[in-house]
Amino acid sequence: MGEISKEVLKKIKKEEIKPVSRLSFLLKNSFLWTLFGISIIFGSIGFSIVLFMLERTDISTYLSSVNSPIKLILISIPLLWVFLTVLSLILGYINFRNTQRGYRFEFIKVFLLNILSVILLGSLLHLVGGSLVFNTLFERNIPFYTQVADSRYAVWNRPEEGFLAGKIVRIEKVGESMLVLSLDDDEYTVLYEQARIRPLANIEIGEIIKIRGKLVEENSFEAFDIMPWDGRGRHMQEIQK
Amino acid sequence: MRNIKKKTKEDLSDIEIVNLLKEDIDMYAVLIERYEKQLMVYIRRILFVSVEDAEDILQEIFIKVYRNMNSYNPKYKFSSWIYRIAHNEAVSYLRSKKRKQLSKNVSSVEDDIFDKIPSDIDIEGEYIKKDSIKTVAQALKNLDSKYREVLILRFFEEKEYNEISEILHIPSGTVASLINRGKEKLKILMEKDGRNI
Repeated sequence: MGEISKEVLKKIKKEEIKPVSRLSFLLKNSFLWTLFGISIIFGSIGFSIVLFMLERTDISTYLSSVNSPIKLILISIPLLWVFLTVLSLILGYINFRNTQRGYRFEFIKVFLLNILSVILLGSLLHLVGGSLVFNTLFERNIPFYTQVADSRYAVWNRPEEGFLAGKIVRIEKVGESMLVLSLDDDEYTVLYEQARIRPLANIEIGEIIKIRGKLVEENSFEAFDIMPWDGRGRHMQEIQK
Repeated sequence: MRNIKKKTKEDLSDIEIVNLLKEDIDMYAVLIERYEKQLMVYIRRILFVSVEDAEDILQEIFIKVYRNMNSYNPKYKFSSWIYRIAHNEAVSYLRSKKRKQLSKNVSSVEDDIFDKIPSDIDIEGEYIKKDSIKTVAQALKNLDSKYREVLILRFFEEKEYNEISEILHIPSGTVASLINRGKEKLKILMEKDGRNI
């Protein structure tokens, strides 16, 4: 018996080293696959909420009427969810790579497959209304979630650029104007005589609305288009309140 | 009688020995003796460490092999699996000792670990001759470790692409590109080093 084998066997016997059970390795591998699955599911939820939030900002109608459509698109991107979706993709790849045979696949193929899965599942989830369900769940259970994650707050809080949102606090019978408390708690007198009022936008005290228009003077806003706060994109007419 | 018994043991396949280990731990010595020389050379080739250091690393490798025996999948080559553990241990050694620059600084390590290049191995036929083995060793010392290991596995350990893929846990396509790029870089280093010898 060689020196190394003697030493190794001596150490194994002395320290009573035992082989790790096969079950442990199976569990480890299953755990990695589970994490991979979870990351794909979470990524899909993230992507569906990205779609949901993009749609809910209602910017598509106005892209052609603003000076900088790219800026508007960038502002409307829900960065938190984009970040979480990308993070899920990265974690998914790492988990997959660490499964027993995951190393055999090229990075780009695995990553593209992950992206494709997340896009397909996320779009499907959004189409069946899952994104609304999840977003509502997060809104109700995570403090400050809305302010941090909801890109409407960024898009519709720029009165100087024609995007205003807020709660109706007073309605003037004469002259079709109302007092709106903006997302920043500033008061704006909104003139809406010429405005298009979407069917689900109720002009009632306490209602939160989105207003596309023009800042005519300080704290005075002329509305062109009034939408409900919770309306979203092309579904705005159908959405149930 | 003893010789017959020994020969019988030597005739056993790696998987048969692995299966016998559950009943007789001493059978592990057969497996160790089967791989210790080649792993010793491999460790010294990739880490450029002394024989004493390599022996310590080797002991750790065989302890880890024993500990992780149940993770071996008989569908794949046992030698690739044991090389994988050796590779991991070498990486750990480099990390723990922070000796990533070791290859460029150690001059005491003999080049004999590269003396046994089989004659049918041809890294780059036009410039590697037997008399330039020293140049190869020196260039390998200076080569980035990600290329060095893949070249050593391919041309000195004589592993196939799929085996290298299993050892390093990288896709076969990546093995091929690392070998190609590694050869280019080795060629440049050899030409540079060759002029200095």
